[in-house]
Amino acid sequence: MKFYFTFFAITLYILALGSCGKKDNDARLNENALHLSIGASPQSIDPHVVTGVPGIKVLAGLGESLVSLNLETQALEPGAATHWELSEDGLVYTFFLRQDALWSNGEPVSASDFVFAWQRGMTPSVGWQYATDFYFIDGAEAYHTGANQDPNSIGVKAVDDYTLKFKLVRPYPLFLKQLTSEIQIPLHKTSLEQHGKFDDVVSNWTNAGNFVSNGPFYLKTWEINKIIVLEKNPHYWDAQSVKLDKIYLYPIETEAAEERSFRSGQIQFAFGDRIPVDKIAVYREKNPENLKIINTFATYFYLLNVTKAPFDDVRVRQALAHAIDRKAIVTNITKAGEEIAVTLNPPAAGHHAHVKPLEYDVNLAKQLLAEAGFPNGENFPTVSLIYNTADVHRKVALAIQQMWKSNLGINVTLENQEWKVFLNTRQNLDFAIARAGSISSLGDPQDFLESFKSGHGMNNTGWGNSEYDKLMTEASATLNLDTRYQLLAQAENILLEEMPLIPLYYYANSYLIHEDVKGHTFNPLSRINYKDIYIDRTEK
Amino acid sequence: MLGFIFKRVLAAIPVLFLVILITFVLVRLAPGGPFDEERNVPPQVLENLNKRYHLDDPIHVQFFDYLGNLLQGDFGPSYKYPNRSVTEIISSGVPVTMELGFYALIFAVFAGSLAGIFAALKPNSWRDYTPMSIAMIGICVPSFVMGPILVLIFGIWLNWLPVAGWGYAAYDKIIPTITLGATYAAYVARLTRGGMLEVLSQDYIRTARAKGLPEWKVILFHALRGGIAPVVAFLGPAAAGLLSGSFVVETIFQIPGIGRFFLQAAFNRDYTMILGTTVFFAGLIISFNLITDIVTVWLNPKLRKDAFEK
Repeated sequence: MKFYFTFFAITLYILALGSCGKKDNDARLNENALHLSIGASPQSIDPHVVTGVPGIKVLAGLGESLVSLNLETQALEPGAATHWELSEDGLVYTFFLRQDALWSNGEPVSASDFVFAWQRGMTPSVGWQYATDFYFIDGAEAYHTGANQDPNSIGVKAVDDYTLKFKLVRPYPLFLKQLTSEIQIPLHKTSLEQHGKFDDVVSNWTNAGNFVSNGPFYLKTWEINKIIVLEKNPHYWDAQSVKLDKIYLYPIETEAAEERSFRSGQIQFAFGDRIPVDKIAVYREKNPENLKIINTFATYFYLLNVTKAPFDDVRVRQALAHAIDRKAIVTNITKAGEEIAVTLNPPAAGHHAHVKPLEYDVNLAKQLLAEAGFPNGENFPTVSLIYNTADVHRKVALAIQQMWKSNLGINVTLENQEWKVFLNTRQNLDFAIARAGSISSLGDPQDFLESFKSGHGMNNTGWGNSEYDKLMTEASATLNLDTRYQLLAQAENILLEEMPLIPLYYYANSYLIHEDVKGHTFNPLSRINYKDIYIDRTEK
Repeated sequence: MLGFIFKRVLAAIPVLFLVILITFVLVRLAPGGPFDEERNVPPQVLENLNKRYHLDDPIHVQFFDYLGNLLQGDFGPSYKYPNRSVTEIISSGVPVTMELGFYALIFAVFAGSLAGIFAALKPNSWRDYTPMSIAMIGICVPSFVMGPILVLIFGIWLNWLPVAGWGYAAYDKIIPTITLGATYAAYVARLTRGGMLEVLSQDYIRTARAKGLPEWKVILFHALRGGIAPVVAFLGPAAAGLLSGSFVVETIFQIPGIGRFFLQAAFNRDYTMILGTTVFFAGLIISFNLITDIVTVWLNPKLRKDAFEK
């Protein structure tokens, strides 16, 4: 009997445990707060460690960069700097900082905080993955490679407390845009060094209570894999225009769980970039007001290994590219509002008008294949197509396998690999055809095209072209927008002619957002400006 | 008895050592490394990262360094979450997994034994077949199917319970508990039924009935004690299974337990995290087996005598 009494007591205890959360939760949902999901758990919010999107989505609320991006117009606007000047030779940028900007601990934000952040990022032992992207800053390369040990040799200098100067080795058109990034924020030196050496990325300076930020919110709590809470930063210079009191960010890595959480009202905004494809149709029909589909600056494509036969022959590569019915893929398989990719860069990229699009032309494909010595696919070796394990990749691969079989008479075997194995195989050029995707965090064609320069870390094809490299180098030092776009278009035309990759479709992001959440501007870069967001429950 | 326990603890050390050694070697043999990303890390950056985490040391040096740190209770930093140590992550996840496992076990025992008793009272009738068929389904339906079904019914259609999370919405612990406990409840039901059937046919039950005791007293006070014995033996492995097998339920419901880290660590090639969680689970399973052995020995006079003599 005792036995059962114990169980009875424990059951009551469980129910009691469940109910004690209720009050907290109701209170939480009635706050002036935003509840949103951000995809996987952020690995860090250290701007020199973060590489994934979830971490960026947290940093977006915490920091303020020198320049900010207007999400609606894509125009550059003042951020931590009120204005800036560029020298006539395009080499020296001078930023004038807000004199009323404060850290979340009340101390003033000064130019030296930005200098500190840059010196830390370029320090080799920090291992910042994007450091090499900033070698155009004077002295950055020498310091990062260890040729010069003096951090003050980097061309980022504080002229006085509120004036910051960047010296470049060559004009760089994307520099200001890069500065709008969520990771280009100043760092609070004293608080960082309180918890470890300045280059110690494993110290816990980014934990809640330790992390001092200069943006509209500060880090209140961070329970790993569970919840991140940001609270309004009372010291923020523009605190009166920050409308939310709190932001609850939930790391939810599975799309299905994210959608369920939204449907049950646990989150107001599913901001993990993708919701399950089968649910998109349901929302389209029943709750179209909650569903947002946004075309992005990201492309899905296949890489061809040009170092091995048969893809060392450009005609074979072209034949394969022309024999794919992309429309069928986006309408029957991906079904999330994607658009077919007939170039590498999405149409929103400014140079697009000058790029010659790919066509679905089976006859041309057959002719090219015949010219390469494989009429009707005869004698064509069986090649393998690898993709990382995911349902959508499998379905796309199956469809393309079928298209190549029926259009060209060639056989392709499919092979899925676990993500890290896949990356390894791809980087070692140990494949014939491999799935790939690329995203431009700046929304600029240069971002995509840069990846296919000879020897670039993402150019896993073995392809290289000196003319292409030359055009890219020229474009990356051209400040005039029209000229630059023309150069980039020329480069892209070479790429599409040479075809080391086969574009398939441009990604579309899908979000779910509650009617109460106002002020967010959906944009192709999937960026968020928490400052503008507010909750309006009056419509109910 | 103490000598027996001591011997068993000593025997666990080489087991644990082998687990560490094998895991250590296997994770490094797997293609890809912790810093592999879509974009190749520039060689100079990779070199710095390897230096920072001592991945450039010879592998045996790395192994003994790791063992040395482990003996001091330091699992090292996580590669995936650099600002968190593995110890910190494990200690944040374990209480959650323990809590989930504990509730699931309570649910399994409570629901399972009730169903089992109910079935045993009228064997081979609809009152037996119904709970036993449900139990069979419970054993067969995996948690990744059970979870979404429960969510659909109770979370979405009826809107009674939250669909994800752990401890930040009212009653959000109920569906995960049932999902995880269902299979075990089904086993418990079958074990209880078998145990009860055996006991109910014993002479002393007939005696109890002959004395004129009401049936409920016969069941609760006389039959249940013996009938539940197989369940008690099952609890040890069940507890270990609940703790180490909770990652599916944790993933479905976004519960910040240790199981989810275990799984993610493998995908991320987060070497220290894989080792940390493996060592933790190995230790856990070894201890549970140890406890089960001790209890078994303690319960069985014959074994107890052997243990004392050895």
